[in-house]
Amino acid sequence: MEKQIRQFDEDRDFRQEIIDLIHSSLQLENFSSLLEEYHSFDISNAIVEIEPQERISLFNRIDLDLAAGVFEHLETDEAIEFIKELPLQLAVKIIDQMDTDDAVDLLQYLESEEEDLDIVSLLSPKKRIELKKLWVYSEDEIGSRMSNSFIELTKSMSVKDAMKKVTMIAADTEYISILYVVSKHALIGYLKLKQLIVARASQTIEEIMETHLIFAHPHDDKEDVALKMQDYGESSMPIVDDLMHMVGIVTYDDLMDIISEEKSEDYTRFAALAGDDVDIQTDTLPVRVKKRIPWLVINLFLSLITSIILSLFGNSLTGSSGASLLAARLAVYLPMILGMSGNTGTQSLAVMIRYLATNKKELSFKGILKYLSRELGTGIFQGFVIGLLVFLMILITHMITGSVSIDHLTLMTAIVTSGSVFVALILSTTLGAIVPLLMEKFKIDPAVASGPFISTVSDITTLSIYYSIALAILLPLYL
Amino acid sequence: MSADFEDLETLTTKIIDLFRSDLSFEEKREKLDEFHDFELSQCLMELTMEERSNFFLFFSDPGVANILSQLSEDDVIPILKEMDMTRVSKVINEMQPDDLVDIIKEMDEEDQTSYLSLINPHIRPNIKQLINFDETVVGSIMNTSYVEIRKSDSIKQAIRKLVDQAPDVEFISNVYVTDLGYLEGVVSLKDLISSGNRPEMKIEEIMATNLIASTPETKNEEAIEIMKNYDFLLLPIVDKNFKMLGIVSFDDMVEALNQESDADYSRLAGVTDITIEEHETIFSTVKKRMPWLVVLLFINIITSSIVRGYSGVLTAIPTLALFMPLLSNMAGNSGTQSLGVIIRLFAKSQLDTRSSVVKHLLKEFLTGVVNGVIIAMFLFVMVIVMKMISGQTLIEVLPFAGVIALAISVALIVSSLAGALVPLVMKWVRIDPAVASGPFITTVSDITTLLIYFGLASLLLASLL
Repeated sequence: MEKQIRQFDEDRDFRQEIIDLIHSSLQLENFSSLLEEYHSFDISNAIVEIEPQERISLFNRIDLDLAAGVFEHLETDEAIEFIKELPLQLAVKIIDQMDTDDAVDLLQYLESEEEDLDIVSLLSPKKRIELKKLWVYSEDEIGSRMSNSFIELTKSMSVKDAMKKVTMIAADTEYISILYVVSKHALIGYLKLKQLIVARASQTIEEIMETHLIFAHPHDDKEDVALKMQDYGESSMPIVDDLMHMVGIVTYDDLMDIISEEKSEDYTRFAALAGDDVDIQTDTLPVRVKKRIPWLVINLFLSLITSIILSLFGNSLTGSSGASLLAARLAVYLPMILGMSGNTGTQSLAVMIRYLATNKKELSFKGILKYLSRELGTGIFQGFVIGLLVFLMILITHMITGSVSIDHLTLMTAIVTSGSVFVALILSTTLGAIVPLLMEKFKIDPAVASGPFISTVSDITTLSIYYSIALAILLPLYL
Repeated sequence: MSADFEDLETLTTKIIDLFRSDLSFEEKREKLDEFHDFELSQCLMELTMEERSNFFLFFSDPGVANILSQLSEDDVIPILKEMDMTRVSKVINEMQPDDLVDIIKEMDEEDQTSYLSLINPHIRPNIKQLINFDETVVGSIMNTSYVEIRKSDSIKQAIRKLVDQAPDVEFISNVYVTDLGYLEGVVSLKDLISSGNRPEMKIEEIMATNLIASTPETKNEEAIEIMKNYDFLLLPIVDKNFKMLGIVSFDDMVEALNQESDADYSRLAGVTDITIEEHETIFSTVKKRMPWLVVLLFINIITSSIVRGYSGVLTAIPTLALFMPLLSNMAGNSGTQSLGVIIRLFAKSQLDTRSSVVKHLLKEFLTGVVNGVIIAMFLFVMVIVMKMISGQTLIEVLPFAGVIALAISVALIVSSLAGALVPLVMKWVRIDPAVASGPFITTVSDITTLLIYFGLASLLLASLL
């Protein structure tokens, strides 16, 4: 028999295939089964591109389960728009089939937009109870991401009976890779489906289950739970209340969502971009401007402080030719000093933000002190080396551009400038570490202390240091 | 039972206390067995070398392999080196190929050869192949063990195959249907198990054929998008003829995601490595940050000489200096923003075609124009207010405020373009684009901004004097 080799086609465009299918076959008898060949994610991408009329007829014709899957994959604002297009009865049926955590998201937004729209009371009683359970958790709590579709076993079951149960309900259960063992509703153990499959039929669940439980509580921070799941490398984690009663599970797909949301959020904030992530498709010109201008405006006002400080110092730097000479000389090294301390501040800020993100739970006073003293040490070390280099640079440029001999005034200017670099680097390195710590303390997301923000703060401190030292030591010499 | 989850520190202390206690070997083994591999791995670092070798006596070879797989490569290598060679060869042959590859990759060449020789000849070529993949593509994190069945199998036969293969496979949530190694379809474990009551049905009837797979050269970022969007626990990896090569699992993906976002972050911040190690010294911190600082310092010679070159204008109009930090700060910020965008676009492979690059640059330019105009208007008003407070008249301030506003708008346009252009140019001329870090862009934009500022000022204002 001839072997048919399929070519891997990376450019196979499922979205376009579905759009074409909708346009060509929406009215056909077997449309629903044709569409079911595709993943609900691709379908959700495709229906964004079609006419509202086509969407309504599509949702009317396909299986409710598939429709719910499509809505689970839509962005919230699109989901709201499309659900409103549908007849209320159909909308209710679809929401009833959706995963509870996704349904909660959708309903919460719907409620805030259309106050008189009461879908919840139309849902099935079972769904309403599930919804109520999740409704109480805030967006940051792991409870808001829980699923309640998992399999429970009891410890006295035989492997054979357990297998029978799994076989029966697997099709209607979202997640089956780990099975949970409960006794009087309390979680007492778990086992992987893999272990159950390879176990001997005569064994009991108690014999093969793991009893060392790894779990979280519904009010735990979702990012903390994601970290714990990562550490343990398990594909799900049970969520229990204070009595160890199981209230739900979070699974690997929630984990991936939480982590990538957190990462891109931290990153974009650090780059002083508003919004969650960057995408070439959706980032049109207005979107780009909207993402950047808020930070630029805030920074403009902050930067104005630098101008005000400079104008205050400026009063002492006018009047005599000596003072003007000093003003011009200070200005020469100003961009360099500001640049260098801004850079060190950015470095230590970034390291601290990442440290906080991955070690939230283990922060101790002693640990922080150790961390800060290391930053201080780093600042002193770097300040010294960079200061020394600046000192040499000033003398060398003086020798190249001017006379070979070095006069007292030039020497003092070099000393004062490099001394200021030394102090400024120590300060901005420590500042870069302290600012996010303080923010964490006051429960502001430390990622808000983005790179540009810290560089403005370090501009202000550095400027003040540089000019104060220079005015105190150099001005009398120049006059 | 307490409903509070014990923190890691308590757990590792518990394990160590148990290990050092007077209990019999059997009792200890039974109790140690209850802990999770991750917890056991965390206490390894706290033990002495001698204790560690005793500790491993409590576990089977696969057990030790699982514990070591939880540690970072840097920690595993010294532990392997202190182990007895026969045990090492048993243990590493029990490891998942992707974990083993990670470890071997981190070794020096000599160790690589000697460890490779310990690996079973039948998987050695496999490992060698995986070692050669770049860290940013899925080939480097794929796993070569998965459950394979044929489409002509009955459900009953397939379940039997699954039971036989499962012990050696890490994840079995998907079962792959192959013919002579070529991927033809996939059956989820859920579907297979729920079909258990129809044992004679053929796999062909329940397998899905609309396959979503990746090649080993696919970027990690793209693969994670696929896995996230399709809610995949596993992603099959095939060559261009659909020959099955392996699978990528969610846990490896998450790890790759972490590493990559750390790399993006490090780049934006201008440090060589953003993570802090457990016992990091000042010296190692300095080593990660200093190289950049020194390079930047030397580039800053240019900024100093620009200001020196324009010292004539500066002494004639001393107020110019007042807005110098403001201008360079603002331009630096917008340069960092557009750098931040392009780093992400690189990572997501969204700039692979020439047209997408051109389009992106055009948009950056226009973004710079819009932002530049808005910020310039704000600044224009602010300068006038500031100057009038200090007693100057509107007519006196107007030209000055105009020049500053013009300068900042040009500076913002140039720097937001530079934030995108510099990394692109570096990529074209094959300099490691990581060189175009946040601090580098700010320094470049400092230079352009000073030139624009003083250039415009001497052109437009000096004539008024």
